[in-house]
Amino acid sequence: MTHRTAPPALAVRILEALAESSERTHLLSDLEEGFTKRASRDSARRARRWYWRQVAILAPPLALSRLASVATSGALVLDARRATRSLRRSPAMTVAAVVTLGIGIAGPTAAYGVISAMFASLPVDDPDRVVAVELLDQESSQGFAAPWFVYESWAGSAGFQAIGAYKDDDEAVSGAGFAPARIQVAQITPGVLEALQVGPIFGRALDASDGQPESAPAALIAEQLWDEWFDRDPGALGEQLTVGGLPHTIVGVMPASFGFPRNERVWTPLRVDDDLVRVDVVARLNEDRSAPSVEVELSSTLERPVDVGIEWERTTVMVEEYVVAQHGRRTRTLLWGLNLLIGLLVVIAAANVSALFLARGRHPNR
Amino acid sequence: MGRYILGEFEHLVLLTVLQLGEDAYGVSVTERLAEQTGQDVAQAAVYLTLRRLEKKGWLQGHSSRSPGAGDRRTRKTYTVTPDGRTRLAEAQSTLRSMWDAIGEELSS
Repeated sequence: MTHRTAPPALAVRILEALAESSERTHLLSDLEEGFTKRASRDSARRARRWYWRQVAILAPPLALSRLASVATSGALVLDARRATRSLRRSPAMTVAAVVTLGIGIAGPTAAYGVISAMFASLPVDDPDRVVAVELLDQESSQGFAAPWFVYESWAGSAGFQAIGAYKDDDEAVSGAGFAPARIQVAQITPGVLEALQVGPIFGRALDASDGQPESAPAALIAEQLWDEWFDRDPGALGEQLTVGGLPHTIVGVMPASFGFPRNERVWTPLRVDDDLVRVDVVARLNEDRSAPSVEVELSSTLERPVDVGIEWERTTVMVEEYVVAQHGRRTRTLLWGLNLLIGLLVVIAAANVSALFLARGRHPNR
Repeated sequence: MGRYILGEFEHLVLLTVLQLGEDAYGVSVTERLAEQTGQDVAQAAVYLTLRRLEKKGWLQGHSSRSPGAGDRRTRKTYTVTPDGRTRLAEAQSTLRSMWDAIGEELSS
């Protein structure tokens, strides 16, 4: 059966509601054409995301245009005058209405802020090409970190422009001239910075030799620590840091906006002496490859050695946009749904307050 | 009154509409812009700019049927109006005089 790929119905409805009737047909037709081209060139999933991005760009100006056309029609001005007179007559009720609406607006705004921050894109170029690569338990639909030997097999895939592995933890960090502190530290392979296309603002990045057992341990520090501990002194390079009880030499300073994977401030080379150690993996897709196609490739070439603690018969590979993978698609859908619900409650509250004013306008003596 | 300085994106969109002639509509303008600038151009941004330029009277929109899409799809094609051409010429002249003023500095 052939399945026709169509733009997301909700997104189309939003545009239908916001666009003026004179422009609706052309706008939807153009966007559908763009969607169809993307769906055949990339994938239906990427095309749907593209469509939603267009809606996000279009919705605010289209909504403002609609408001402006209503405002200039005259009826709104008349209503506003009546409302102002009514508000002046009953200040107590006005205060109650404003407080109600204020609380109603503050709630969803705060919720929106939290959710937006959670799902904000990585501060890197083309964040939608940065993917997390995990093993997936098909029974529970849960992703889990791959053993090192699996990561090494992925590193040869032509689907990736760059790939890196990392582990993160809180570590005690100390050094000459500053108090010991518990700081979030990530151990990374050089591929992590290559996949994110982020480099130090000062000094050098970690390279493959830093991960070798015989090399002196190197460390990158965040710009904030360079500022706080070394007062931006270039002499910080070469200084010693003790991270998790081991001495490290500072070789570079990362930009303040960089905190991968969460809010890390120190990065050291990932050294692995056991093929079964589990590592998180981040990669940058090649320009001509999509996440689903790489997922298929990696699943079909996945090595499945016995006795490594993985139930291979129900395990496959998952390649997913990094930000989405961090929180889970289901969590994201749930949170946005919750946000929508709160927004709906505000609309209901606003409608009730308006109805109250209308009732008072009709029967001012009540 | 001083010359109106076209926004960079407006400028690019107007030039692209001129280049495309009768085939200038949202999708074709987006694709041509992306091809010539080497950047990912949002179709929504192009659409909003076309709409704004039309409101300013620098573009004129014409409804037409999409070729090969049956009766269902229509598209809006655009042509640059004489006023739009004047704005482009003014923008070109403004930019040229500014470049001329710093040309030597850049080459030294």
